[in-house]
Amino acid sequence: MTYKHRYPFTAIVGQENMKLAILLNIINPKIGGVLIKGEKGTAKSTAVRSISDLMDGLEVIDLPLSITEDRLLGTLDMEYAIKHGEKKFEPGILYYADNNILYVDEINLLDDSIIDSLLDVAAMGVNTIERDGISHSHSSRFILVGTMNPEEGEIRPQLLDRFGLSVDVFGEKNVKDRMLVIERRLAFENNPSAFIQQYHLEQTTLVEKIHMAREILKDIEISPFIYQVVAELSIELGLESHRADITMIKTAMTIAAFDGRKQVQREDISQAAYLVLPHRLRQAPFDNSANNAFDQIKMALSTISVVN
Amino acid sequence: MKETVRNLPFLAIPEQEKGKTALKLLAVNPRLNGLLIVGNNSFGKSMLADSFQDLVGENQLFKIPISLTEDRFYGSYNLDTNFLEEKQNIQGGLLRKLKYQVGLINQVELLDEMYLFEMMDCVDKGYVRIEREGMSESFKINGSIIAISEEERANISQGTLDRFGLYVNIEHSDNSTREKIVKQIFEFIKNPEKVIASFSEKTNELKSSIAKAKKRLADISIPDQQIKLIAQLNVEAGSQGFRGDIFLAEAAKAHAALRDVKEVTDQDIMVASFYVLPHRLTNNKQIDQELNSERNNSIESDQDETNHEERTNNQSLSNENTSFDQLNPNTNALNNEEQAFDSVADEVIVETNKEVSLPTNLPIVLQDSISKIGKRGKTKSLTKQGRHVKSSSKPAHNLDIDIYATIRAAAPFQKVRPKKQDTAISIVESDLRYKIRRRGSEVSFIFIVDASKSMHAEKRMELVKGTIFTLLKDAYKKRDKVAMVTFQGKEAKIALPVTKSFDLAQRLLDKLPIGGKSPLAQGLQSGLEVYLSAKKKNPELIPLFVVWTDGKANVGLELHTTIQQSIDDSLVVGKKYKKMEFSVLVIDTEQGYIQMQLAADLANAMGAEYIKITDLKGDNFAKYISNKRNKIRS
Repeated sequence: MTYKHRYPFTAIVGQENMKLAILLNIINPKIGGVLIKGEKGTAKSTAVRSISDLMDGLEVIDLPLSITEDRLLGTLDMEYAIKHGEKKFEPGILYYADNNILYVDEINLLDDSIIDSLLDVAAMGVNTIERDGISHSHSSRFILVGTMNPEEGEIRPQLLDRFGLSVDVFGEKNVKDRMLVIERRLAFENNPSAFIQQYHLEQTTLVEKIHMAREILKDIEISPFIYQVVAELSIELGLESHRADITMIKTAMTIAAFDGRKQVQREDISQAAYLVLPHRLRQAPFDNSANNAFDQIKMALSTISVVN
Repeated sequence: MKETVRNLPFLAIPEQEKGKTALKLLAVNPRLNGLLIVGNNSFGKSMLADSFQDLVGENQLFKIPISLTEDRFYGSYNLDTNFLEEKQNIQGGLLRKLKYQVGLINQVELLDEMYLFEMMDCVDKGYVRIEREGMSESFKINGSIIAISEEERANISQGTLDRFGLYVNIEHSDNSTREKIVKQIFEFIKNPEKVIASFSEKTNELKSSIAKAKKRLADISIPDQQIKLIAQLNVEAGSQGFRGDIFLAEAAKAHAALRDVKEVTDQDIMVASFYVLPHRLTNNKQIDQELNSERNNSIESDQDETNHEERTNNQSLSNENTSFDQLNPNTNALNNEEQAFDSVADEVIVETNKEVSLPTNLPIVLQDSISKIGKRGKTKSLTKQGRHVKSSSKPAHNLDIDIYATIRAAAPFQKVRPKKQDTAISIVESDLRYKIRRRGSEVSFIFIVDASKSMHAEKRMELVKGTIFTLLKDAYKKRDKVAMVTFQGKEAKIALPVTKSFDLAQRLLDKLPIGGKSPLAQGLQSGLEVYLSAKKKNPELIPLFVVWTDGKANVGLELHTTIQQSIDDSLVVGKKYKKMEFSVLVIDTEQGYIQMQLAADLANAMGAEYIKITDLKGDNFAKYISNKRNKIRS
């Protein structure tokens, strides 16, 4: 189902980190998705839904919490089987998610067995179905986007690992920005098409920028010292897996491309670190997460000795 | 078959002005998502909600039973005879009704939160998406929800609560109001037609005025200055996210529409704030005040033991009076507008660039800290317990047949199987599929913590908090649940019903007030209540009770008990635990030279394991608990 009137991405007030993380994923789907954490009512869903306006043919496929396994993986087409006595595959959500965005709202509340199936497919990029007398497989490469409110419960570590980037969003405490949020929202509700028209120019400019970044990304250059910076940073923070390193480099490349540069700079790594690392750092469960992680990363960044 | 149910007309209901205003706002502006009506033992909540149909029309209100099942909620296939020939159409489903109608839930605290969350989320998003059991569907919805809770602190998850635009607390009615209501109900029962007829003209007027206001809504503007006020009030209230702002704007618009003016004024916003802000308050100043007053009360009462009862009685009496006085002015908000606006305006401090204050009589709903208002929260857990997630050919322990999956399994063979007469589809045993539901035995730690005055001594509370913290960390890792009962002063309270939110438990612990007497028996009683109400949700819940106390009870189950009686009471309640064969650990907090060993007696009565707090050492303790849990699980 498509929605004619979506709140424009460029009309979202503030939340720069979240917006950047989303854009980077659209430019470079290999980054591995984004987990958006934040208190309730911070327009997380609105932002995700608005993504499909930023890229032609890119759809946001919803994965509702109440999904059953047959609708996730796909199953036997019952009607066809009855009518023709033959087995045919009826695709599930994972089929439609291929080359699109797979969006799970309140992902921390998703059922464990659904998560298992999801992780399996996300790791392989292929959905293999052997059930109900059906044997079928299809490609299922998607950008996984999850939103959650940590107050409602934690997310399973295996699922957390799967996300390339994670961002925290906060409510606006500043009265002026808050007014802006209210004004825009009311204007949108009152006359969606007029409101969308107002942001036409900004939207098209952003879309062009994304396309350019995608082009630049094809021949981006990384000098050896960048690898050194990444390695040192990971060692300093005690990160064991290489997935973090690789994601950091991919993210930095994409940041450079989005900025219109072919050269990855040290600052790109710093910026990437804040998006890639927070959810990978070991943390005591009762630490107040975001700030603590940021401090750790900041410290680690300041100790790095590699120079260009 | 649908019977026409006659309700007492909206206009025939005496008083209840706050509730009526809230209903009107929702009727005019469905973007408010929903209204949560709460009230402990208060009178006429559902009568009021039923009368909502007078505002929106008879067919616009439908009831949502708390005994919902998934097929009734999401809809299911039409299994009529032409099932095989025609494109299967999906039938029913309460979510589908929300396309245009308003759903009414009575006793929402008993509804599985999974459904409430899903409904509020769909209403909030404005569309439904179903991907279940072969159904793949999405559609827009425009409806809203009215939920009624018996409990003042309905223990609805914060995310769900946030999606309710409006909240109203129906107070205890005073005697004269009660009398009026009862009288009106009797007249109605005697002759419903007569009552309805006598109000019919006015009811029609009301209906059309609501309909007109609804139409005007789109043309109502909010000047910058008023948008600023909305933002300021929300900042002041500490609303999380932006829903508070948007709802306040929408509710103020609805209020202005009812008044038939084109522009929202400060007064519209202030009136609306009574319904939009209470359940969003996180502002520390207000909550701290609330906590402090609670703390002072208990310490005070501890110091003065003789006149204590009398005085608190007086206190609560005078409290009641003042709160009524405070509430009265704005209750007439819409019915007696001028007067109402005058009195509300007195409290409104709105001038350009001046600090904005929340209305002084704004009801406070403490969301996640120790609540003064609600003592008996019932459990709501957010896990999707019992939800059907997949099917299997191996039967689970009960005969829970998945009809859809069974037909699917049989489908390919329909062409070749011989058909019996009168059956649309031929099913053999090997086709049978069973539902696999997500529900498992879960362990819930139920902490019962003595927070009385004696815990002040020798840093005892720090030790207690330390051990609770260790347990919490462990339970968190194992994804167990946790609940907490604290007792001090005159009574025990359920500080935290069974939940997975460890963050909450921890914050609660930080703010735990200490002082007052030690109503141990009540604490133990509340512990049982916590478990029993959680068990309604998940019959397979396994409780593990951990009691921190020195056993020195000095308040019993009833007021004015002697110390000996109080101790005896605690043993009596303790024996209930033994009878039910619960796993209990009593952690004795008694320290010092003279020890009375009362906690050991209690442990004995409870059939509990017993350990002295001084014998607990970090790692050992965690291991001990871990073993204990594994034993319970297996």
